[in-house]
Amino acid sequence: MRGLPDRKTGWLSWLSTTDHKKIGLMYIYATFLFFMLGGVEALLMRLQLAQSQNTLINPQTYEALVTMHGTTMIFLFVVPVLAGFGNYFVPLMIGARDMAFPRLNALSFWLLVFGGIVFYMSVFFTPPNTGWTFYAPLSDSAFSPSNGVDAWIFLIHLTGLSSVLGAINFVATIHNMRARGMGWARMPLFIWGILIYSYLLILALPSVAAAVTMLLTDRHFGTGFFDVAQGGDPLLWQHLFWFFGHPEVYIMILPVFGMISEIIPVFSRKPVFGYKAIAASTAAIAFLGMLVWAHHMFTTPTPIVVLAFFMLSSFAIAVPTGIKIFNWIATMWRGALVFKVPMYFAVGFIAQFLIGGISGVMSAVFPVDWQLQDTYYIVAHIHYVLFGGSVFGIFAGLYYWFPKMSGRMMNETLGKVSFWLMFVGFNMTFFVQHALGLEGMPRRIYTYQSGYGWDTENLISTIGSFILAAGILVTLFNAVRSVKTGKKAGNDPWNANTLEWFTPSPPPENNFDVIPRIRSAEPMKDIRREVAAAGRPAGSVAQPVAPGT
Amino acid sequence: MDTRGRDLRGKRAAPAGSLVRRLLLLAGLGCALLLIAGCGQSQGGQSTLHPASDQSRKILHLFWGMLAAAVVVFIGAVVLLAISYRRRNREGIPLVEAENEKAVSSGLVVAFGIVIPVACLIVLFFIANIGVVKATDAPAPGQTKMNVTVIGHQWFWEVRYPGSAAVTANEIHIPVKTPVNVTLKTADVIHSFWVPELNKKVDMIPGHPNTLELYADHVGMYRGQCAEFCGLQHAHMSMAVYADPPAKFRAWLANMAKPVAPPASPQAKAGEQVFLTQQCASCHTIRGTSARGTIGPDLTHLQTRNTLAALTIPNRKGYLGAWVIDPQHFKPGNKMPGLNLSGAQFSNLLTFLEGLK
Amino acid sequence: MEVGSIAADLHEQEHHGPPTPNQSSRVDAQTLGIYLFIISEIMLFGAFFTAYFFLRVVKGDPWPAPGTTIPVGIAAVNTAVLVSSSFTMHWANVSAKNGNRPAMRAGLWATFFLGLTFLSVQINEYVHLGWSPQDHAQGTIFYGLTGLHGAHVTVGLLLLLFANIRANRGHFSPDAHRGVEIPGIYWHFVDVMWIFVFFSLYIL
Repeated sequence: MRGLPDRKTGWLSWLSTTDHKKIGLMYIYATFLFFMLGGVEALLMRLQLAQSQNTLINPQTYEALVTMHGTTMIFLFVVPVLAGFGNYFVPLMIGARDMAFPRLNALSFWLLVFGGIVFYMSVFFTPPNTGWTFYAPLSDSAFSPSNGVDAWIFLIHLTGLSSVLGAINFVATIHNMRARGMGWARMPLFIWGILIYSYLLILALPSVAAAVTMLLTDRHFGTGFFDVAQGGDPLLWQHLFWFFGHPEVYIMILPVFGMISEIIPVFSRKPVFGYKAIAASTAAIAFLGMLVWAHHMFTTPTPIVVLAFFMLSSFAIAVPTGIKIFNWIATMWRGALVFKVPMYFAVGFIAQFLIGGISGVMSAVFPVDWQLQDTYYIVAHIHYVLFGGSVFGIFAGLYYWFPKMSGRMMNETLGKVSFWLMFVGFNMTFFVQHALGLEGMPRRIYTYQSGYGWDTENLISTIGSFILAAGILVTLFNAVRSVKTGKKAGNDPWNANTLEWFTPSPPPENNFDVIPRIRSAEPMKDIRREVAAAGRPAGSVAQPVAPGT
Repeated sequence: MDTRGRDLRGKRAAPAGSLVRRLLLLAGLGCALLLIAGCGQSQGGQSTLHPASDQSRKILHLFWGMLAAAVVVFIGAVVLLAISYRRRNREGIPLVEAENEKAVSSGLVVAFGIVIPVACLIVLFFIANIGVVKATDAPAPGQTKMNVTVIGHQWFWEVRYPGSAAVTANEIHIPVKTPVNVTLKTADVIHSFWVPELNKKVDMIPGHPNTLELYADHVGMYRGQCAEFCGLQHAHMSMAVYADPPAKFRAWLANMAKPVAPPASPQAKAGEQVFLTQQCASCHTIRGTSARGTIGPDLTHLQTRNTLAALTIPNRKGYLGAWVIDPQHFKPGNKMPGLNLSGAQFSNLLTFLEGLK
Repeated sequence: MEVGSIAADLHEQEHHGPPTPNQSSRVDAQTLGIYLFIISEIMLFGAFFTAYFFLRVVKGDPWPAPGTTIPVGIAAVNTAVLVSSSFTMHWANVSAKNGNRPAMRAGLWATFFLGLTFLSVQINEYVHLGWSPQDHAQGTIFYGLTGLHGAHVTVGLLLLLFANIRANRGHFSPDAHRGVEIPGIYWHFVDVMWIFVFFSLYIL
C-alpha cells in the first residue's frame, strides 16, 4: 500500500483541516449561512409589524423569531465572522505560517457549528421565546418549561467555549508569532482590534457561561440562584448577563474598527492618521467597556449614585470613540481618495456608526433612558451600531479581502448597487425606529393597535428592510459570481499596506515562502519603494529569515 | 506624488456620486421625519413627545437639548467628510498654513476628539443629575395624599387603593393635579410600568418593590404599556391612567370600594350561578359574591371599565360575549380558557356581567 | 511623519536581539495559553463569587442560612492538605527541570494523592452537611462555588494522572517538561482559588 497523498483534497480535507485559511473560510461560510437565517427571521418580524393588528404570525412564533434573530446575529454571526476574518488574516498580516494552536483552532470552529446546530434543532420542538436576554424568572422552568431555553443554554456554552479557545489562540498567535521586526507599534490596526477583541472575550464570556449554568441548575435541579422564593435574586441574572453583554458590544465592533482603520488609509493613499491614538483608544474602549454594564439596568431599582457612575463611565467611552472617528476623517483629509466599494462601505460605516454612537450617548443619560429603555429607540440604536456599524464594516472587509481569499476581484458595479441598496434600506428600516421609540412603541411586541402614530413608520421600516435584504443578496450574488468569473486579482490589487498582500492570492498553504523583515507599520509600502528603486520583482526584496521555516 | 485623484490603475477617479452629499441629504430627511413624528397630537396616546406632567416634560426637554447637540455633532462630522471629499485633489488643510499644519491638525483632533466631547458630557452630566433626577424622583413615603399599588401579572395590571377596599384592573384612576405615590410589585415575572406622558418607566422585579410618582397636569386618559418583555402576551399588556377632577375621582373610588349589589333580575341571578359554578370563580374575584379567585383580574365593577383584557378590546356587549366564548382569539396564550356554555347559560352570564356596575 | 517616528522609536529596540518570526514573545505559546485560560477561569469563579457577595453584601442576607452550620474545622484541615499539594507540585516541577526523575515522580504522585484526599473530604462534607442546594439561596451558592471548585480539582487530578502516566513511560527531561509544568500551573491556580473560596464561604 502506498502512503496517503500528502495534500488531501475534496470535502474531507475541509472537515479535517487545521489550516487557518480553510478554517477562516469555513467560519465565513457558516456564519453567512447563519446571517441569512437571522435575516429571514428579521424579515418575517418586519412583515408581521408592517401593519397594525396583523395576524400573519402568531405570538409564540413571533417571540421565537425575536429570540432566534438576536441570538443568531450576535452569537452565530457577528462574533464568529470576525473570528473568521481573524483566522484568515491574523497569520497573514503578522507574517506567520499558521495560528499558534492549529488543532485548537479547528476545535473552536466545530464547537461553533455544533452550538448553532443544537440551537437550531430547537425549531423542531419548541424554540425559546424569551428574548435574547433570557431574563429570569421568565426563562426559569416555571414560566418557560419548554426545552428551547435549554437549547439556548447549550448554544451559549458551546459558542462561548469556542470563542474563548479561539481568543486564547489569537492572543498566543499575536504575542508569539509576529514576523521579525514587527514590534507592537508596527502591528496592523486590524491585529490590534483582534487582540483586544480576544482579551475582551476571555474576560467577559465566563460571566455569561456562569450565568447560564446557574439558570440550567435552577431550571432542572431546583437551585435558587434567581428564585426569590428560595432567597435568590433575578437582578443577579441581569448583572451577570450584562457584565458579559456590554463588553460583547465592543467585541463585535473593535475588530471592525480595525478593518476600517486598514481600509481607509489604503483608499486614501495616505498613512493612517494617529496610529498610536487609534490603537490606544481601542484598548481604552475595551477597558471602559468592562465598567458600563449596568446602563442596561437603569430602570431597575438602583441607587442614583450607582446610576450616575454608570452614566459617567458610559460617557467616557464616547471620548476614545470620537478620537477614532476623527482619526479616520483626518486620514481621508487631503488624501487622494479612491472610491472603490470597500471605501463606500467604510464611509457608510463612519456615518452610521456615528449616529449609533450618538444615540448611545443619549440613552446613557439615565433620565432619558428611563423613557427610551425597552422601546424601539433602543432597537434603532443597537442596529445602527451593530448593522450600520459592524455589518457595514464586515462588508467593507469582505470587498477588501475577497481578492486575497479567492484570487479574484468582485464586480465593482454590483458592489456599488449593493452598497446603495443596503445604505438606503438600512436607514429606511432603522431611522424611523428612533421615532417609533419616542412615540412609545415598546420593543418585542408582536402586534400593536392603530391610532398611536406607529402605522406609517412601521410600514416604512418594513419596506426598508426588504430593500436592505435585496442589497445583501446582490453582494452574495456578486461574491458567488466573482469566485468563478471575477478578474484575476494578483498579489496586491489595492496597492495596500499590510503583509497579507505580499503573498499570492489565494495564499499557498504555507502562506509565505519568505517572510520579509518588517521596517514600519506599512511593510508593503517599503517593499514597493524598494522594488521601484531597484527595478526587481517583489519577492527578491525579502530576505529568507531562517531556512526551513 | 502626482497620483492624487487617480485610482489604482491610473485612471482619473470616478466622481463616485457625491457620496457625502447624499449622506447629508438622507440624514436631513431622517431628521425631518423625526420632527414630523413629534408633531402629531394625540389624546390618550403613549408618546414621550406629548408630556402631560412636569417629570415627563423635563425629560423631554433634556432629550431635545441633547438631540440639538447631537445634530450639530453629526452634521459637523459629515461636513468634515464632505470637505475631505471635495478637497481630495488639493494640497493642505483649508484655512491652515502649510508650516504649522501638523500641529494644527493634531490640535484639531485633541479639540474635537477630547476637549469638546468632555466639556459637553460634563455639562450634560450635571444637567441630567441635578435638574431632571430630582423632578422624577418618587416621593418619600407619606409625602403624598394618594397611594396606589399596582401589581403586574401575566398579562394584566392589578390596581389597589390602600385604605380603601377598591380593587380594579388595567384602568388606574387618579385625581388630576395631585401627586400620587404608586407602589409597584409583580406577581410573577419582571414587568415594567410605563405611562410615557406622565413619568419614566420603572421595572417591577420579584423581590424588589419599587415606587413612582404619577402626576397629571390636566384631565384625560394617558395610555401606558408594559415595557419589559414578560412572555407571550407582552404586546397586550397595556393600561390606561385616567386623571379625573377630584370630585369625580372621589365618587369613583367610593363606588369601587363597595361590594357589588346582589343581582336584580332572575337572568342575572342565574348568570351569577353560572359564574360561581363554572370555572370563572376559581380565577376571578367579585366582591359581594363567593368568587375569590386571584389568577385573573378583579371583576367587581367590571362595567366601570372601558376596555377588556388590558386594553385589548373595548368593553362592549358584543366584545364581552366574544371574549367569554373564545378568549384565545383576541389574546392567544392568555390564561383564560374558553367555556363550554349552553346558550342560556351564556346569555345569563352576560346579563350578570353587564350588571357589575 | 507619524509612521516614520514610530519606526524611529522601534529602531533602538531592534538592537536587543530581534524576535524570531515564530517566537516574538519571551513566553512560549503553550504557557501563555494556559495563563489566558486561567484568566477566563478566574472570571468564571468571579461570576459565582458575585452571586455570593450579591447575597451577602447587596441583599444583606445572613450566612450561612439561619439554622444551618458549615464545618469550618474539617475544611481548614482540608485547606492545609490542598495547600501542601502545591508545594509537592512545585517540588515535582523543580525536579523535572533539574532532571531528578525519582523526585519528580514522587512529587507528581504526592500531589495527585493529596488532591484526591481533598476531593474525598469535600464529598464527605457534602454527605454530612444536612442541607441541600435546593433548600435556600445560601445552599445554592455554597454548593455552587464548592462544586465548581471540586469540578476543577477533578480536572486537575485528571491532568496529574496523565502527567503521572507519561512520567511512568519515561517522558519528560530537563529540556522538555511542559507536560509537568502546565498541569502544575493549573494546579496552583486550583489551590489559590480554594483559598479564596475557603475564606469567603467558611471564614467570613
